[in-house]
Amino acid sequence: MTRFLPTASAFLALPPLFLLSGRAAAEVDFARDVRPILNAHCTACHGGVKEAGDVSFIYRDKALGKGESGKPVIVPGDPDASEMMRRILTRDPDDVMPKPEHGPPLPAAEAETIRQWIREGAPWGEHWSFVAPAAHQPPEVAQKDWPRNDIDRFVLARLETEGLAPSPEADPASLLRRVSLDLTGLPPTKEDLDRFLADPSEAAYAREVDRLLASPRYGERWASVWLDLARYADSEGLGVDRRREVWKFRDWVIDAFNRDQPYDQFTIDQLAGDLVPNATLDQKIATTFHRLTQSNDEGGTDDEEFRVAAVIDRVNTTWEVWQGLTMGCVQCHSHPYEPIEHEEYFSFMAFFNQSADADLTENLPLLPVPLDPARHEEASGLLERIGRLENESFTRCDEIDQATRWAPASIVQADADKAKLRIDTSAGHPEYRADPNAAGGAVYRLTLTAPASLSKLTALRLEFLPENEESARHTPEWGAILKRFQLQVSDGNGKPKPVAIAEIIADEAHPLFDPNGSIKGSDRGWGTYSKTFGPRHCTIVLAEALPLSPDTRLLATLTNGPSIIASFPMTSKRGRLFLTDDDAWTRHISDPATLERKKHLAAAREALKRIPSTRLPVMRERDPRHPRETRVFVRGNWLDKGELVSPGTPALFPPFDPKGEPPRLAMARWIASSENPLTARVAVNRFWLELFGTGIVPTPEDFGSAGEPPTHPELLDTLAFRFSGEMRWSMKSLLREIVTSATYRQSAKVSSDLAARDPGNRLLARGPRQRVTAEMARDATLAAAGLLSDKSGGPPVHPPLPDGVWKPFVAGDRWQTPEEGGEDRYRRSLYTYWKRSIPYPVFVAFDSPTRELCSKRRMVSNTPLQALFLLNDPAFSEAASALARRMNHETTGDLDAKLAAGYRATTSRTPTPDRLDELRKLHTEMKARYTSEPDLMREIADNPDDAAFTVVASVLLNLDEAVCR
Amino acid sequence: MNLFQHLRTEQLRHVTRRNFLRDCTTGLGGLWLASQGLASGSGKVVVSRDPSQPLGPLAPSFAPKAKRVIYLHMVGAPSQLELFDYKPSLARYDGKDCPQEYLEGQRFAFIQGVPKMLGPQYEFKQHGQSGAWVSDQLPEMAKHVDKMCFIKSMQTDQFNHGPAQLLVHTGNQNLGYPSMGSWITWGLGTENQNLPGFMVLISGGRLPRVGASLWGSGFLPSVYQGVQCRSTGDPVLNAANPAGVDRSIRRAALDALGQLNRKTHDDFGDPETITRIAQYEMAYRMQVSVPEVMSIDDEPAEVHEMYGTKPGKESFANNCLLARRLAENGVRFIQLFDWGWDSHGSSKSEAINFGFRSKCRSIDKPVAALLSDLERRGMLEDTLVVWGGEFGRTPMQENRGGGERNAFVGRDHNPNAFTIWMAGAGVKPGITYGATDEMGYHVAENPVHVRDLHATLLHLFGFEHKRLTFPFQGLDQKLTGVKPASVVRGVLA
Repeated sequence: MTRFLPTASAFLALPPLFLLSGRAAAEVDFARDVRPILNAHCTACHGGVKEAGDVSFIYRDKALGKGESGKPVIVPGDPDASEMMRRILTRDPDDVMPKPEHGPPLPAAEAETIRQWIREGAPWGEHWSFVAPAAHQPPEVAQKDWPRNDIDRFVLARLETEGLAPSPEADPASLLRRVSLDLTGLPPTKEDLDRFLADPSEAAYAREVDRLLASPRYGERWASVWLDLARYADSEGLGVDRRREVWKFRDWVIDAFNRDQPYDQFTIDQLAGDLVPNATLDQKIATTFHRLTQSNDEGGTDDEEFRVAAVIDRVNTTWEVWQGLTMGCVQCHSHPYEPIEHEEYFSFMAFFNQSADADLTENLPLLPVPLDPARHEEASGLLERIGRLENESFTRCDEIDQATRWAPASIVQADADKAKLRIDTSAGHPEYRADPNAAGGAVYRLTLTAPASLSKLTALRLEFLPENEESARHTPEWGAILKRFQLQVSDGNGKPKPVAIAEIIADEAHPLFDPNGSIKGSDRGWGTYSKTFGPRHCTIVLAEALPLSPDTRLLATLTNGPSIIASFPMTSKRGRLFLTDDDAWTRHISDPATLERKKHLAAAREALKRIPSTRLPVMRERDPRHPRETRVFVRGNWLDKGELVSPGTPALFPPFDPKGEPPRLAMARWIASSENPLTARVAVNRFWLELFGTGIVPTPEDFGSAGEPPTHPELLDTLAFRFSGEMRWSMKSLLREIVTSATYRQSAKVSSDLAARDPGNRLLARGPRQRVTAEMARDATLAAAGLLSDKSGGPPVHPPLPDGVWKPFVAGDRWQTPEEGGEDRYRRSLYTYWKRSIPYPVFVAFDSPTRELCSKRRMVSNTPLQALFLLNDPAFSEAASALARRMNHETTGDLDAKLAAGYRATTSRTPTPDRLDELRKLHTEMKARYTSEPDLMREIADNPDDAAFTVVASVLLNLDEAVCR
Repeated sequence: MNLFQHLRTEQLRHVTRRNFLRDCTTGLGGLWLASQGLASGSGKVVVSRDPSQPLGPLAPSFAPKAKRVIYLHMVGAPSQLELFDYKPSLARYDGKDCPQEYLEGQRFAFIQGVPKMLGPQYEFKQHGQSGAWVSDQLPEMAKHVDKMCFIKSMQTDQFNHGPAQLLVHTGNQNLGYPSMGSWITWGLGTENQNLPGFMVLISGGRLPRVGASLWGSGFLPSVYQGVQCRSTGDPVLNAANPAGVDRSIRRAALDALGQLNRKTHDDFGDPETITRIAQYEMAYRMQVSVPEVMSIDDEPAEVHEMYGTKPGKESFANNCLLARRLAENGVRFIQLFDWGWDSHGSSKSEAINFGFRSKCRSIDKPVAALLSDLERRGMLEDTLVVWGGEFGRTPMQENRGGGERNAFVGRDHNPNAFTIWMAGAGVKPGITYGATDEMGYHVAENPVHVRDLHATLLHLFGFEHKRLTFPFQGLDQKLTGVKPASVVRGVLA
């Protein structure tokens, strides 16, 4: 496939800024040279969305075809015969392209590129990132003693072409600070610095890198990055924004990074861990990834609308996280720039359209996960057992059901409370229908007669039917709950007698609620909660066979469920009943095997219940007997369904072959494959972005033809190839390779010449210097102050929050901050309760997203609000006091020694004498001030010296160096 | 040149050198730079951004009519049928079953089955020269109808509060998009560098349900998000110094910080360091300017009487007065949210015959005062005032859960038609644009979608809505989104 790769000279091609003239002589490459021109000037009207004049430049066959005018758009080899060329070059305002009202004519150089391309035969070429990466031979370089590994050879070769030299290595303290913050999110401790500075050997740095990668803090740091992509939050978002217990997923991510789970496995577990054969509890926990979509529990919201919104978000997020492509636009029309068709979006959506979750208030399905990870295995075993017993039990019932002859029950009378019923017939079967005003909790009383052929009754079958079975398959109707089912019998004389019901059996193996709840009465018994896609039934088995005579009247009382989401009555609008005299049902309920199974099931459930657990929303497929149809949404409107589609991936990419696996699992494997051209590249680029502040592809959210090309394409491809190959997708190996490169280890000092030449450090002639992330800003402050807790994992915590911020929509949602000194007050930032509608203020100020949607990179801003937080926020003031205490009371030596210790705690560097002078001056001045104003002093400390140290500490925490890495 | 100006100039020089070039290739921060440049330049700014040349010079295309906006959002959606959209024929249908054609193909939040029609619950009269109909619930505001431009044909796509509020404020029903205040401050900057450009005031005791997302910056840089002002504690989060630190101590600390940071700049040459010094100075100034502008204590008694304000209290009245003060001080986008207008009839406070009346009382006098006050200060000419909710309410009475009528009268959500009004900068005073059908259920003429309103607002600020774009997720994103939107010419002065 390398034939599609740009030619060698292309790798030296510079981003637009550095473009040199004189390209025209070389051969034109479609993807590199022509597509960007088309995207900029043509595809808005002649693209995937609009095909004005029946002309499109997205697919070659279209571009070579004839437009509405009948003239060939492009004639390969003959620019003069190509209508495209004529329209670009003409001066006639009625004819010229782009039309004058859409933009100026094409610059001469671009027109010439197109002309040359057509002359060369208009060869089509796939966009670079849609072709699998290959490894490249590292280039020869002149400065042979600089490279430490192959990364450096690629970087240096480019620098040498540019006539630039790399920077010297950063001073050891700065370097250890950089790599510590980058790998663990925390600055080095005093001991770390002392050790590293005392050891000038080559091996010392590698040892520090290994130590950092092995630290439990490593997983916490990289989980923060991943959780932005996963749109992880501890609340549901949208209407009510209730709490959602999903922290076990956060802990799973931390653990996955810490044990260096290979990226391909990491991917499969999150997309389809539930479907992997013999899935472990941890693999099921991983699937919470796609249950982190928003849900809407606002009164009056349509569960299907927000289920669909969640499914769409799963599609978009999957593409954004793993493929670096934006699929959002393909929801409504074909991709404007890439050859991806509208229908293909919905084929991909079909992978996610069979999961059991449905925007339900209860967030079902939920997986009980032990609070104590040590008990995961035990719970896993019990869950496996419960699942197996439920399957066995269902299979047995299904066998009986298949053999049963069900006779339709005639409904001779139907009346109701809180609804109006009528009796109807459909396909020869009697049925009841309720009026549209039927209210929640309506009670139906149906008088039934059995056909003469039945001399006894052993079981009933109750069916709930959608009003329109055709459309319900893809656009479901509101469902119904059978709150209670009661049966009475009468022979026409005397009071009807109750008939005992032994069991209610659902038409699926793992219903969300116990159907037997409908025997005694339950708001969540058997039913089609909350939406119905088709006819569903349950089997109601009598405790003993009931003799029937021609006079027998059966009185069935159906109590409907309540209204949900303050609005929608869970009331059956249409249904029917069937009867049988088959003894198999009666035998079944007393069969020793059934009883044994029930006993084991109850025991396993009880044992599981005894394990203190949290209930985690996870992915689980619906029963395959009751699938949802996936159809194209016409122009993206979910209420306007088009043609039926089946699961598949866009044709542009390597073929999709499920090999008999569940489709979602097969899709996960398709993504996590080294054949996938994007997965490894996108991952490598993300790590690079985190370490250098800019990706090799500067637009990590768009690897498509509208994004920017990589600055070092051979480097990216080689790293991607090796990441999925020899590194076996090990993220730690990749990070080790990058942070031990000479490129990464360069000093960040920039001369004014270099700053002018390469302001964005695209060429990497110096080391990275980035502002810390929101999490680091708080964690590093707590670390410098000696307050940071190193406790890992567990439920979210509630560190200090300024007064007046916490005004949750749900009144009972409390923010309780531990007192000063309490460990949970000082936990790492990623453990902070993350509420979408009330984000933690300091995180927002430092550019963290609110995580309603997948976020691929954080913009770095530099604002006065950040200054106000670091200077005045009570939590930061508390840290300043603690740092002051550390300086003044936990440091031996004179004033300078104390000041230097503080400076080192916040910046990792030893202060120069002029900086010490500055700090000493401030301390002296403050001490004098507080001595002369004891009242003011007492508000901040017990004595003027400590008060002065507190002001100095605040300055140290606010230093530019303290917020940079 | 004072220190701040000096730093700012220095910052801009650095930013220019660094970002200008870098952003030739990234295309993102360049726009940010451009608006930085604008904010520091003269007030008269028109932005025209060619997406293929993100760094092209900002050429004026047309002069803005509005310099600032005060947007009054009645959270929960006030009933147009009880305030401005007078429907005498609806009264005749009161208590009758809703005709089937009103129900077919419609989706409702709470109405199930066949509801009853509900006539207007209050008396209407015509007011002013323009003869606009206003109900007896807003006697003070009714005196200002000749300043107002009513749009009675507003439409939205969403009929649940969260998504509908997002659509009004961000142009998208999903979370994660920039609010109009962010777009406008991003495009225009602000007139007073010592105050945030986009400020948000809350009343009614609750935040809107999607909270800060309504004034979030989405994919625009976070510096453009709205700054929520608070009625208790610091007016802006962390504006006050910690205990034991007074202004002179803070000054001394910042002087030392500045000296140390300059040394860092000498060491590394990172232009962000210079920017950071400038931001600390701006923070220092905001610490004074924000509490000053947010304190209404020094307003004369006459003003307090006029607005019905009580210092130190969270109220819509206080927020109206604050809005005027912020506008006076050059804040670009002032957004008020007043909770409590969701009149379903499901409880006393949510009933048109109870809670709704007191909501009307709480806004009537303050809004009237705001309009008078802006007018007498000559500010109505370049200040746009907008009043409205996120959708309208149905002419049918809600029958929640399929039940019967009860003591509390209410209406369900109606995305098909609602009323807003605008007053001031650039809009025709004393007119009504668009109309609903005889039941006030659907738009009968001149529909105005929320997107059209956005296009119109941007127009008033001198932007062509299709050209104020930001590249994100492979698209040139805009406030008006991808569906058609157009400026409502009929309301422009």
